Amino acid sequence: MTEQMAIETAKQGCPKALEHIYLSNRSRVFNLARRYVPFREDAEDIVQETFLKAFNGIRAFNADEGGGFAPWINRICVHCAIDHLRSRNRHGGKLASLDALPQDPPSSDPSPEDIAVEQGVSRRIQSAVDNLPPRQQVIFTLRYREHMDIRQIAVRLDCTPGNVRAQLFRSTSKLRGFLRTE
Amino acid sequence: MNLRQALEKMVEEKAPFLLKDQSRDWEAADLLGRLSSGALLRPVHMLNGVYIAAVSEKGLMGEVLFRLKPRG
Repeated sequence: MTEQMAIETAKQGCPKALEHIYLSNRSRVFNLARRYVPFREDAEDIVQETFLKAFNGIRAFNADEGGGFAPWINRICVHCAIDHLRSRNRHGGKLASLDALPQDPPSSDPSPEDIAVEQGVSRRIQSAVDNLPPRQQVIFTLRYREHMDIRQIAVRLDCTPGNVRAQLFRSTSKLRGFLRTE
Repeated sequence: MNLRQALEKMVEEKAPFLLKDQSRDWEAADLLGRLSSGALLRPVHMLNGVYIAAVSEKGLMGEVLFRLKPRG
């Protein structure tokens, strides 16, 4: 069975086709997940979540958009890795989370126009972040969405602070480029 | 394959997984003792290491009944 056939059949809900897709993509997705978490068990959790989400959403997959099935499932894997790291950050107890800090009171309610502009900017940034290589997506998200510092990210991803800085520098440079060309 | 067969297979093979539903983690053997005979006859698909999902009369995958969770 070719991958294209498997995908089309899986969209109908055929269990064997889903199994075929799992078996032919599992090790690649696992290797990708393994780059974001230091422990094998965490990578296994991410792989499971990735395939459950992928199978739930496979009807929405369009081979003509975004370069094929592998990049599509890789993106899901990266999002699952980010969620996993976020969850670890919240529940791990070792790292502080912004969620635990008191929130500043809002200075005034934003107008509908402000909200629309903010949402538009946010969408553009998210779209640009989605175009980064997977590892840069994770590091960027942990730094600027989760507000982890360089050292915390390095510990979480089992790499050096220098590596984190380099990846952040590359990702922000690319994001500037993406946003300028829009 | 029905749910009984899937659970029996896990017990026989000493599968290194627990079955996780919305409420808690289960041993396959416990579920064999607890679920009704009707529930155990339900057709399923087991994707090793990932899930056990219901399968419709037409043989199409339905809801995920249990996630397979590696033993800690």
